[in-house]
Amino acid sequence: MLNGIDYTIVLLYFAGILWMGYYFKNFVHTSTDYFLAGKTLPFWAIGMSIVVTDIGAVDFIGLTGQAYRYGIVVGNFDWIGSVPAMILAALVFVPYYWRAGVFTIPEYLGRRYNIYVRTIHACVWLLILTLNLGIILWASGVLLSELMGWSIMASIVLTAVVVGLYTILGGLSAVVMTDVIQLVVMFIGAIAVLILGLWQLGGWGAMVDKISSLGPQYADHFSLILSPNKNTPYPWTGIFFGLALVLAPAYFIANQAIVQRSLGAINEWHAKASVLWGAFLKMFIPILFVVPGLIALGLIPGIEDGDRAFPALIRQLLPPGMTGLVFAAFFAGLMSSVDSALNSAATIWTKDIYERFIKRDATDLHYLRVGRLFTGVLIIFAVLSAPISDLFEGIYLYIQTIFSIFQGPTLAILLLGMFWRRTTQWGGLAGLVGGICVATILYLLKSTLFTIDDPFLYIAWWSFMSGMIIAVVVSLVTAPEPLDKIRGLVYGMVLHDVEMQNKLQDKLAEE
Amino acid sequence: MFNFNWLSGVSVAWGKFITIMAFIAPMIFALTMKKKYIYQGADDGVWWRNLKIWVVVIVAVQVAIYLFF
Repeated sequence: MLNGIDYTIVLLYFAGILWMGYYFKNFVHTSTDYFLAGKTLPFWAIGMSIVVTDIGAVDFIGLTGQAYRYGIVVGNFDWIGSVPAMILAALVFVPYYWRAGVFTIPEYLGRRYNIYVRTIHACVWLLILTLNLGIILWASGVLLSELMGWSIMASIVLTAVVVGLYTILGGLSAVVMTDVIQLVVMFIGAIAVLILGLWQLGGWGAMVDKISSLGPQYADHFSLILSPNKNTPYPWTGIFFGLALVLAPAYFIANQAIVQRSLGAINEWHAKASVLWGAFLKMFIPILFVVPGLIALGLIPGIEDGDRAFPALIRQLLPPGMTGLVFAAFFAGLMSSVDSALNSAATIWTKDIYERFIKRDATDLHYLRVGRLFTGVLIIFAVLSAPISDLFEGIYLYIQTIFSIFQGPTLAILLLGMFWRRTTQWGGLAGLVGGICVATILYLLKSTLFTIDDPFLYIAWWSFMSGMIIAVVVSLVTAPEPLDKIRGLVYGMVLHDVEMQNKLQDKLAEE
Repeated sequence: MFNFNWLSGVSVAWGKFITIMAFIAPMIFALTMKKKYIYQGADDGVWWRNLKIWVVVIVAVQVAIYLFF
């Protein structure tokens, strides 16, 4: 499928990314440089990195395929399912983390609640990130094998070597700055598909007419709001309660990969602006990745498996050279997902597990080496474990299920811990564990309790509510936390406590 | 209850209104924030560093999209 010029473009892209990783190695001297980029990142780079972290290579195929099947309603995930949460994250939560002076979300939970909450959260995140790495690599390897005839393991090893090298060498700086290039490449590739596709269909109006003429089952393909009475996985009730109110805030407020980038900003204004800039860019994702699904439906109707829509579209639309660009964009999406998972997992491992349980009070250089070493071990583990994904059908779904089971209760105790002083350490622990148990039960009984096949949006909502109620009840029957313990950890006591902020500024200046 | 059946009588138009309000509410919240807080850490006070303007632009685009589709 690729010819000489396409291969040249892909190779140039790989070389450029590797060079950037090597260049940023020169700026890594301490663990803060490695995990938080030495707090030197500008808002525009962080915002672009946040967006590209969220959109992986699998989304090229998945988003387009879902749009082919269900229409523009899939765009809700990047609009109502991102933008309001990102505005709140930018103006409320990021400044809060910034002023509380934390590295990781588990670290905050440990300080606000207790070591059990911190460890449960850190271990679950570490497990999810590690398993996800192998799955992302395998899914992308399979895709490249189907499209290009490449060996699956060759694709995986090539990606792992490139990403592993620049992430180990350059840390968060290299991750974020390569993400910037990757976003530009992804956008150029997607815009090429969009323009050529619309041009071949005769424009937007012609595309709408073509899809509408395919039959009544496509009548809702251009509606963002769908009635809960329709047989769709995306009714507006699920989108609003499950996605907009729980999963989106959980992702942008409680996700280590997102928060870590903002904490690497030059100052508080850049931290806030980075998430808003990310929200602005995020608005283009449905246009670039959902609309091509509709274009594929207009040009090539009748594809049984929606996930085949994007490859079919590339084959039909793109001239030589352009195909190489889109493949570079595909690799960009893959690498941005892998580098973020690597860097976040290394941070959680070093700060929340190694420094807490294995070796306290070591030198900063020691933790820097541990972070780099763990990144290397993790990428090797991901390569070796990737083929296991093939042995278990639907393992990707299982991981996503674990992820969504965990999101609602985490958000519940995070919000309570931040905004309600009366929340106790035992309330937080009970809310987290109880909420996860409720979510697990709902999943096990989903065929009897829910009317739609994959009710993850509804389960997210109910597990969030359960975690919230359990945490409130247990907090009220246990002794309040001493004021000294929660000082600087509850919203009003972080942002408006002058003494606390002065101490924090002194501490940051010392570092 | 788990399937939000109790909301099945709410029309799609109301669903759209509620969704649009989910954009408007954080915008209003942002507009009520103090200027000092919005500019905290900024190098200077030039107009484009006012993050309230950023929020208004983003929300305006989103509301237009949801009104259209």
